[in-house]
Amino acid sequence: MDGFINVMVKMASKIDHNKYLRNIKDALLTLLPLMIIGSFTSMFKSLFSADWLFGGALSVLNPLWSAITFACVSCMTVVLVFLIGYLMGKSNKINPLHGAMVSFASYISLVPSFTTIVVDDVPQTVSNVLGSNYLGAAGMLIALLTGIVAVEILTALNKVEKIKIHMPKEVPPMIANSFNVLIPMAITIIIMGLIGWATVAATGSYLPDLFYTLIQKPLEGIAQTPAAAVLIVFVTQLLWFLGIHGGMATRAIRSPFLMAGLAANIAAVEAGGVATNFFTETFWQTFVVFGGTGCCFSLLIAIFLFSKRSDYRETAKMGLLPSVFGINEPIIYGLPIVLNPIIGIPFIIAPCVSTLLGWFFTSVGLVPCAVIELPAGLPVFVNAIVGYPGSLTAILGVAICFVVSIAIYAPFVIAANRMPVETESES
Amino acid sequence: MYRIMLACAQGLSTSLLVTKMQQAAQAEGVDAKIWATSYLNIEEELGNFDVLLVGPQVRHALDDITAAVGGRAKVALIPPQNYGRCDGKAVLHQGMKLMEE
Repeated sequence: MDGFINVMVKMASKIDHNKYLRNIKDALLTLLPLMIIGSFTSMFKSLFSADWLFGGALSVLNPLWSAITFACVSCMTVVLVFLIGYLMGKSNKINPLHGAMVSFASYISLVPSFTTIVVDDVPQTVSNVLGSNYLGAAGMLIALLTGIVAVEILTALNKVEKIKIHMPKEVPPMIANSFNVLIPMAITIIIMGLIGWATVAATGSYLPDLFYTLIQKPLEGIAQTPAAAVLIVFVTQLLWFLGIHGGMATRAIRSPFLMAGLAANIAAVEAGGVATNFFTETFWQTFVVFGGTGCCFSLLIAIFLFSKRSDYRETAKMGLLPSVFGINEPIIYGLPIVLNPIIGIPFIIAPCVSTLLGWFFTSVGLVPCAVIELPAGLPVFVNAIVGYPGSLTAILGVAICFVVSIAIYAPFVIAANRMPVETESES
Repeated sequence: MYRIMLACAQGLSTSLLVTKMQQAAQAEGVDAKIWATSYLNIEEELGNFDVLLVGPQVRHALDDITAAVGGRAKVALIPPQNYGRCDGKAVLHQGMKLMEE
């Protein structure tokens, strides 16, 4: 068991401290407020233009909401490419602003600066524009990769003495410095531009298009399957069971797909279609981690209903209010759940079952796919009301998962009644 | 004055413990500055704290955190039991003891 724990701790540590994954995670976390704002303005558009509200008079504001949604969600990749460049620059201990600039310029140099529209059945080329498919979620992974590669090249070139200019002592050092910033940056952007140019020359397609079709789209497809969702939930719970923050450890891998899924949902609804990606951060918060990771609110209720242990009841009482707001470390370490073979089992199973149920509800149309990005820390059930606005069946779905999770926890809570109460290991 | 910083994943759950520690410090008349942050922001706070106490949920990052602090402050893990019980007094004393070592 100890060997297994060490392997898992090492793995979590590797994922968490891999420079690239960590910067991707930080970039997405930094972007989150814009996603929340953009998803809400998208909702405001349909909400305020409804007929029952002043006869639809507020639909005059529709262009406002559309503009904000476009800026915050449809252009997320532009912001992301800046953020990843900045964060990579910070990690590599170069000027982060130079990292952000090079990352942005490199990505845009890979993107076609024209688009083709069809007018009266005749395709027309419009030049000097950026297609929104390169600014939004579809360009996300290639933009992150471009930013990372570009800043690594820039950092490596910054260390090469041979391309540094050494002026005579009499020349002010700022002059040499300005060239020493310029030359590595120029070489980096030219290298990245060359990669883009060579891709078009060799395949006839632009790199972001190829990357999307061959890599991002298939990965997104896999991430949106119930099996992949359950696997991510399972690993997260297993890490928590070992005492590690599983949500943070799996975030770097989970977040890009949850966020891209949500952005695609918003884009579909904005275009008058139906959202199709069930696995989003909103789904995560409402179906997987309600009351804290492991459907913890259900555990607390199960303890209040069935536990005869005073230590469990006391810990549950103390942890109730934080748990309402999704914080359950007091329970995880206080009960404890960590390395507790009895409560650990339902702690891992309950959210996996809840995920499957949630997926089932969306696949039969009971629960819609989310188009709202939720801020963290909303109380349990309130997050379902906000996350799935106007959908009574979504709240019903969450309630079913809540009750099912109580049923999963109950036998284990009852079994724990017969477990000896551990004596205090520390004074 | 004791300058004690706590770090967990996002600084959310640890902020609960911070309140309890501040109450314990006030009750004992200890002059202490106690606050929480995300373990990802530790480098930005370097120099502001003398003791860094790390939440058990990010213990996998302890080696990297210790390396990042680089001897400029004492670093230790908060025992899971004290963390779970939100035992402000015990954790405050842990921090004070570390600083006096």
